[in-house]
Amino acid sequence: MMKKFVAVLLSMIMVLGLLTGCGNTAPASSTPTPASNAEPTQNNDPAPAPQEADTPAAPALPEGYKLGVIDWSALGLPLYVAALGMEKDLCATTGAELVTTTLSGYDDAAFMAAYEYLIDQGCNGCVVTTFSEGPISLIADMMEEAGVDWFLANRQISDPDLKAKVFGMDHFVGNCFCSEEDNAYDMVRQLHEKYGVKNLAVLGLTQGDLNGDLRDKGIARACEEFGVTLLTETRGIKTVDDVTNSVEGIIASYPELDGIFIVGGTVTNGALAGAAQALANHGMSDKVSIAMIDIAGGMSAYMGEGQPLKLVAGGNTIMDVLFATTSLINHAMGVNVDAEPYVIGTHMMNIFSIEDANDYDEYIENTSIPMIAGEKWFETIVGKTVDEIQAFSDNFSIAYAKSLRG
Amino acid sequence: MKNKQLPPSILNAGKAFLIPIALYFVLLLLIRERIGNWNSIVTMLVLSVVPTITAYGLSFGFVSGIMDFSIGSLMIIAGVCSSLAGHYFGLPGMLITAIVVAVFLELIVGGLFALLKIPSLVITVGTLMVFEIIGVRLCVIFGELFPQISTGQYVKTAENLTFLGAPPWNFVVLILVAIAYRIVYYRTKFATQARMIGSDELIAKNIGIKPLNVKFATFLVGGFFLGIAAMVSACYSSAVGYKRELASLTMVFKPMMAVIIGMSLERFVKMHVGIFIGSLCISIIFTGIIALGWPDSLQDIILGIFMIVVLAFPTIRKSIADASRRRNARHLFEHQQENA
Repeated sequence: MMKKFVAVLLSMIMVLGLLTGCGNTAPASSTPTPASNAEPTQNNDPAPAPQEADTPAAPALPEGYKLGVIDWSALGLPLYVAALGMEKDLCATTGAELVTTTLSGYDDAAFMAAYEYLIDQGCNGCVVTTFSEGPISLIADMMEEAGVDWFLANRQISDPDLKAKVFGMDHFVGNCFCSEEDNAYDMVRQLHEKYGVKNLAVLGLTQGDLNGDLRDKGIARACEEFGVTLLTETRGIKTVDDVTNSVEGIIASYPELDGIFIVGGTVTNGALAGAAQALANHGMSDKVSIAMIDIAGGMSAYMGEGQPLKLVAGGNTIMDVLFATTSLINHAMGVNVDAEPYVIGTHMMNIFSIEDANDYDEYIENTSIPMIAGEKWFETIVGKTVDEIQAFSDNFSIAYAKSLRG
Repeated sequence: MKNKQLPPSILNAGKAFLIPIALYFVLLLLIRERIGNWNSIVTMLVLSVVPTITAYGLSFGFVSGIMDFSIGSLMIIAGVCSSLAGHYFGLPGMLITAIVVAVFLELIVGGLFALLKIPSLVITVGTLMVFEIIGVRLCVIFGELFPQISTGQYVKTAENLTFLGAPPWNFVVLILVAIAYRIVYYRTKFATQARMIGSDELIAKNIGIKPLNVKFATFLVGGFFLGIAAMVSACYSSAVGYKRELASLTMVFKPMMAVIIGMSLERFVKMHVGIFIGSLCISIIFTGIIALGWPDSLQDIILGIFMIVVLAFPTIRKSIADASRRRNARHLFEHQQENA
């Protein structure tokens, strides 16, 4: 009797499972994928907004345009919350629909799954960013196959073959990135020239990280050029404890230490706090200068008189997101179609003081007020040529962001 | 005149401490100018404090055959909560919160282990993933509710409490915890039963020990020590940040190695001293690698080789002793044959 009951129960579960499975796939199959959707076709051959002969109208976006982005705001970093806020405002202003997804991890497979999801949601344009070059080729193929326009943000392609492939693709709109190597070089130069650093220790990113490797090159080049001794480097630190351990170990072994370069300030949460505590434990807060890439929350506590943090560089990520989303919108509006695929260079903003840090938080990474909003989009980068966007990027600073608030 | 000899316990302790001393001397030979100072020695001792206390928490489960990989994420949650509590309720609040949170989380892990009866590896990795996300959410929520204390990525420890993570107070805490550990490990029925289960679970069952109950208890008792480790760690680095993507898993390796070294040194010294020696060896290697300017990837290689050597040492010694005994027996046999 029991066996029969179990058999019936199992059968029912299996049938239910089958039905549920069908239920899930049905809407997906009934929803046309971007490849078969009419929207990407509009996108491929964007119809420029009707232009009057005497009154030039603002370019308009094709109706129902969907922009796909990865939502990183769950990480809790104000940067990503602010970036998402701007993306929402941009889409609301231009009439695009913003489609977001989160990552299930930070490996290549997670990125692939995220972009696959965005394609399945019928996005016409996607902002693509990855941690390494590995998945770019596959993502490019995916986008091409689905007929989705895409823009590579925050990553510079170093492999010439991959670069040739990507830049030769029909749906690749462009690429924006900051020169990580030059920026790291410049930071070491400033540490040396402004703060007299001669003996530097590096808390680096894991080898293989695209941006981390470029930053390492810049650090090495600057050290060689300015005669700064690179004492030691520690990589792939996972916890705040490990940062404190490493800095303690460095202080014990290299009493001549006068500079620390934290290559990824937000990669290890609290890296700055851990490093500053180790210096405080040894009474070296005013003897060692810290430079850090990535703007981390709470950094102003370690700046100012007698504090070790002298220079922070960052903010390029938010600019990359900004230019990537705008470029896709522009492309859909038929702007810069002949110029692409193009490259927009961004730069990191330098923060030297508590005032700079506060201004940055208020005017750039403000989580409630977008840096650019409403009609300001059209005054600044929406509908503008590549040269105008590049000029905007080149001239962008914290002071300029402040002026945008009006 | 009577030949005065040192007590065996001191001799044995000397033998056990020979390992870190030998390691230090190797480094001295290589980089005397960088390592040969008092500051370096103190740093090595400081670096071994948190892993030692963490290893104490880990050891109860480990000796009974449980692998708890969730301790890193658990310590992050306990550290985040206790850091916050420290701002409002001072040291007592910080200590109590750290212990209560750690024990509560271990209660969940141990409870799942006892209820579901699936391997500890599966349970602890599963809970680690859940705890990591809880850690992230806590940091984010605290960042919204207490922006002066938390940035959303990490929670700062109250400045007036960071003294607990620096000498001499961290050593005082370590000594007190080591005493407590010694009492629990050698003077309680549960710890004896845990060791017995670890050596042979079947025999333990046959003499009436309930392995599941004892293993569940190892989680709770371990939680007490892990709570203290989380608090000292938060004071030491002045902040506790969340970790994702199994990054907190790495926090278990050094303490686990310290426990393994402690177990292998148990013939010479008590477990609490052996664990400390293990942690000290690891911190000497860590500091040495930094001082040598070697890439940190070598640290893992050297730590791995070191652990294999330490573990293989008793086996090698036993093999040599066995070979020597066989040789003597053969000589004796041959000698007897010649005489016959």
